[in-house]
Amino acid sequence: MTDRLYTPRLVTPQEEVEDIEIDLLLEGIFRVYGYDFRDYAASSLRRRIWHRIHALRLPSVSSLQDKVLHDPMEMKALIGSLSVSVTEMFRDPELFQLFRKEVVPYLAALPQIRIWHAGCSTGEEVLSLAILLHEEGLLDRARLYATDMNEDSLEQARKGLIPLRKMRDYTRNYLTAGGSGEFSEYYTVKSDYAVFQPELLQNAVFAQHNLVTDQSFNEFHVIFCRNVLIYFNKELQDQVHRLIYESLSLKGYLALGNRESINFTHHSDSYQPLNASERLYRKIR
Amino acid sequence: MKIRTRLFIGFGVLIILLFAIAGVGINRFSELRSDVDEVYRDRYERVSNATSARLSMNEMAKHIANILNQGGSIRVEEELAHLSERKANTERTLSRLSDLSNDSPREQSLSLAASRDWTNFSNYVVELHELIDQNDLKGAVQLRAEVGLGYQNALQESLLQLSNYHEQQMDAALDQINEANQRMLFLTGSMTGVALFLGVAVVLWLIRSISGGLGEMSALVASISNGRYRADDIPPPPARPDEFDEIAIAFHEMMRDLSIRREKERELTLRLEEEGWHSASLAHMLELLQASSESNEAAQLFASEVVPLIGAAYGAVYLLRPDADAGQGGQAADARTPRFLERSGAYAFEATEERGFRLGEGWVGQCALDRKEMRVTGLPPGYVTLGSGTGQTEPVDLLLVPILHEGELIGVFEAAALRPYAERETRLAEKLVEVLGASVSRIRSRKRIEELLHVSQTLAEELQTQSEELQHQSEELLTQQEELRISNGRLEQQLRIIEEKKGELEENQRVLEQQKRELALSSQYKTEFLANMSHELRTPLNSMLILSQLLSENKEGNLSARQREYAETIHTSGGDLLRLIDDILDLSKVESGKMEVHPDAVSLADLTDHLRQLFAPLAAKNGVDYRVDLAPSVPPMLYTDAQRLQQILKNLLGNAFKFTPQGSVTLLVSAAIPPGESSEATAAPSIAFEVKDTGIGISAEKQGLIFEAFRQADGTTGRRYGGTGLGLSISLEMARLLGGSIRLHSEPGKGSAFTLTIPQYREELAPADLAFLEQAHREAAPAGELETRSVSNAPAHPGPPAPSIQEHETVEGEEARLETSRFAGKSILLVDDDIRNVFALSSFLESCGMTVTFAENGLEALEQLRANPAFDLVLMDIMMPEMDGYEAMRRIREQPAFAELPIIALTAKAMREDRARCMENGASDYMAKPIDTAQLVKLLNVWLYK
Repeated sequence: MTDRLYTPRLVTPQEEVEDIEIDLLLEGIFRVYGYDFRDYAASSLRRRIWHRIHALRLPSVSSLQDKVLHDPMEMKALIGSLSVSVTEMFRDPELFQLFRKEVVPYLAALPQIRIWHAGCSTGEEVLSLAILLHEEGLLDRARLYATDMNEDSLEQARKGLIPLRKMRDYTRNYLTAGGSGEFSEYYTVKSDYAVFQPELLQNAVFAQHNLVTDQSFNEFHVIFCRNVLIYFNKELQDQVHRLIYESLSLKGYLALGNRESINFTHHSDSYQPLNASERLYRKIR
Repeated sequence: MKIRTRLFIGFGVLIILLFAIAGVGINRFSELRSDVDEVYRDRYERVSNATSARLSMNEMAKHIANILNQGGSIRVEEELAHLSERKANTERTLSRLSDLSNDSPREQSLSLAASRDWTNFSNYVVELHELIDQNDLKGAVQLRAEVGLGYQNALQESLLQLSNYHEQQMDAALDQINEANQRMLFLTGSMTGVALFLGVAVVLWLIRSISGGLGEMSALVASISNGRYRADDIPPPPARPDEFDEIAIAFHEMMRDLSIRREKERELTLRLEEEGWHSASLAHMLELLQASSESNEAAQLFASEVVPLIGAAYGAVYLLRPDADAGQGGQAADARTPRFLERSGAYAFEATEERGFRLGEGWVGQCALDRKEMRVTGLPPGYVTLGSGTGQTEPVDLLLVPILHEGELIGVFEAAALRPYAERETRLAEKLVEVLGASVSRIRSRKRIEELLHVSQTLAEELQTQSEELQHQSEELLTQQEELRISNGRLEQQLRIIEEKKGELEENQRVLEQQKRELALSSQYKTEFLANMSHELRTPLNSMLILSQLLSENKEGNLSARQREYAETIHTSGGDLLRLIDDILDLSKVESGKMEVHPDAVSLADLTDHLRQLFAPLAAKNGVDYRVDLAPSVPPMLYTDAQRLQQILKNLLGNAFKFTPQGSVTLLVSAAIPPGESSEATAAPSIAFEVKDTGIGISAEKQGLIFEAFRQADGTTGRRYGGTGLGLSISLEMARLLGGSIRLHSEPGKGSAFTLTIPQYREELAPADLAFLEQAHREAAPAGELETRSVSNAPAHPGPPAPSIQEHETVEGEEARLETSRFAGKSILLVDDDIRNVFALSSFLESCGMTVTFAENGLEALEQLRANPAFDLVLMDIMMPEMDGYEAMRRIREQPAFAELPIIALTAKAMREDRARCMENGASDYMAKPIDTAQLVKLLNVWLYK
């Protein structure tokens, strides 16, 4: 007997076929390209796949499969579509405020600081943290490892370019996040972009890394993995949490997205939340 | 009878006896005393009076005798006196005696006799006395003899009789007293004896009755202490109870109460013990169940614990399966298919038995349906058998308890025992079942909450992914829109341009040709002008040089040594001036892109030979060692512009000799790999020309200035360092033109080493590269505003990068200028009371094509905004009169129309709080004063971006 309240989804035959098609597509991608999307959250994945199918004006998942398996460029495009690269500078400014207050003193005591941005996307967060660390006088000692599975995003991240139209919001975020300098000190304007000082990313390492298939590559004092796990199903979330746990030093900090939670994962007991509202956790065991 | 009464009676009797004896004794003694008194007063006085009367009479007789016998002597008188005296005396005694006499007849007669005799005698005495007085002795004697003596004797006799009588009377009275005394003694003695006897009897009686009660009491107490006391044995109390009976009754009552209380206590203890057992079991169960997070686990735990605890031999917990579709017509579902009670925990169960029951099915189902406890005793044989490896047995008592929680049926607990249950066991079972109900209910609701939390977490994540995807899509859309817009605009523009161009093409071409011609002409003019000017300058300078040289030679010998010296100075200075003019010419050529590169094959051997010969005299003159070495690894030919190369090397060597008063100057030519590109396979090998001296050297800070000299050639630095700086700058630029570079390594006092590195192009490729090189700066040159780029950027293609600082600054400066394109036509409201700032800013902003409106304070700014709400941006000073920037910004933001109007606060303070205050008051961004134009341009770009 189980006490679980479980309501199974009603599946129409059409949807069943679609599920199979998606399974086949993902299996195919995994076996051909090594990208493993099989444990991604189903509903989001379905939407992303259909987004791509519509963009290509194709009739079905199978037709997309045909294209993707035979054309690496299509695969690249699909990855672009599957990896939702939504990020902002100083996104959720309160988190950065908390970071300054709680985490910076811990980092200040370290001779060398290693920070991992898992799923860094186009690198806005890396830039933000670099600015924060610079203002706290810690940037010289810090090494920022920024990884993403999407090479295109990484390429963009390396440039340190931000579209000008976003800069208003980012300026606001910067100020709310407790920025101690002038945001305009950090960039110059070139055409439609704000070009951030290359010195900020001097200690940043951008590398391709797939959280689903790749292993831990270092031990970090802080790990940012924000709004990445929401795309995964529970099993995969647990798996990635294990990877994060293995990569985080004891007393190190883990930052999650606003809607994410360490609860209901296998590692929930290993962390202590710093604050009820911000998703900043400290590894305690 | 009560002991008090007894004591009263006993002691009362004794006291009465005592008083009786004392009363009799006193009475008798007082009687005795009155008897003795009477004897004494009555008898004894009479006796003594009679006796004394007799004695007195005798005395009188004697005195008479004496008188008579003596006859007339003197003594007669005396005797006579005595006699009279005696006579009175006797008379008195006799009268007293007569007074005392009572009515006794004998006594009266005797007294009468005595008194008659006395009268006779006294008469006689009187006669006698008279006779004597007449001295008639003989008559006297005769008288006496005749009557006197008779009288005398009679009196004597009666008196004696009287005295005897009284003596007899007294003796009789005494005898009477003695007798009475004897009687009293006897009476007293006998009364004392009776009292003594009665007293002893009373005491004995009292002692017996008190000690008897005490004995009973002590027996009672002893019976309690030795435990033989039984409340039932109490004899009925006597009709008139004494104190001991009362005590005994009270005692019995006490004992009865005591035993009742003891009974109650025993019950209480039992109950407490049971409750203790219950609560211990409950606590234990609660603790056990608290730890379990699954209802099945809890049920199993319960069965394993509780069945042996209540003395049962087998048991099971059935839990009602939660309704899957509860809430949506659950009642109806219930009616159709009874819900299932699943066996979730069991104790000593056989594997073959039922997995569970439906509601109403069997005793278990019935118990659940009724929600009432069931007790089945005297189970029929074979109802259920419990077995182990060694045998089988059958239970006799079956208990079924429904598991309820807050009125909700959770399940049923069943337990069978091999003997009848004790009441406390069933009670415990009931209580424990409540705990189980609560626990299972708690586990289920926790599960439900967990589940809901889980669902909500999943939903939150799903929501986040959707929102991110949406954001992503809108981002994509925005990008696409942007791209579309741009490409659209571009297309339109292109279309227009193409159309226009089409029409204008010929015109343009014509104009272009015209311009080309004009350009060529103007370029020619410029070159000609420069050439002319240099010619114009050179001609008089040359005359001056020649003439001054002639003067200094003093061929006519009419000049003083001093005058010659002046002439030499004029000559030398003129030479310097000429070189300077050449340098300026070169510089202007480089600047205008007119410096031409004519690559050709250069023999390094020829070059070195030439340089050796050229500077040998100077070396000799200065007394400096001069060596030119050509390394063996160096290829024989180099493809470059020989003239420029020579010019550079001459410059470097000239410098070296200039600053080397002694020691050596060396030129070393070797093969080198250009720095910075060492790893790249495509990198061309280079030739390094190292000019090394042992001169004064250059300090680190000056090293930088030498390389920046070109940029500052028109400034103070140029003047301070004279021509040298210019030469080096030109050398550097020419080196770049050749695709090479110059590096300096120097230490003050030890010497300097300038290394010119020239890439060694392969012959077949080189012309093309160099041609491109030439073209690059020719194209760049006419652009005007990019004049520096031609020099710094063009060589970057084939050669090593120019010093990065320079390039960075150049690029940045250029972009800053470029990025003002967005500003044209924008209108800015500048709010500041500092007129210098207003002037500087407005002139700058206007130069960018913006319309600048000025307000001196916050109030004015508000008025301006009211008058013209179409401002694109506000630059707001903070410290102003009338109304400061904070308030002004607040007021502006209060108006919904200006909610999005970009306001950049200009603050002179660099404090963080100050900035935060700016932001709080509505600033979009802030800038520190003094205003840095580059930063302002950046901010304007961000905030004017549409």
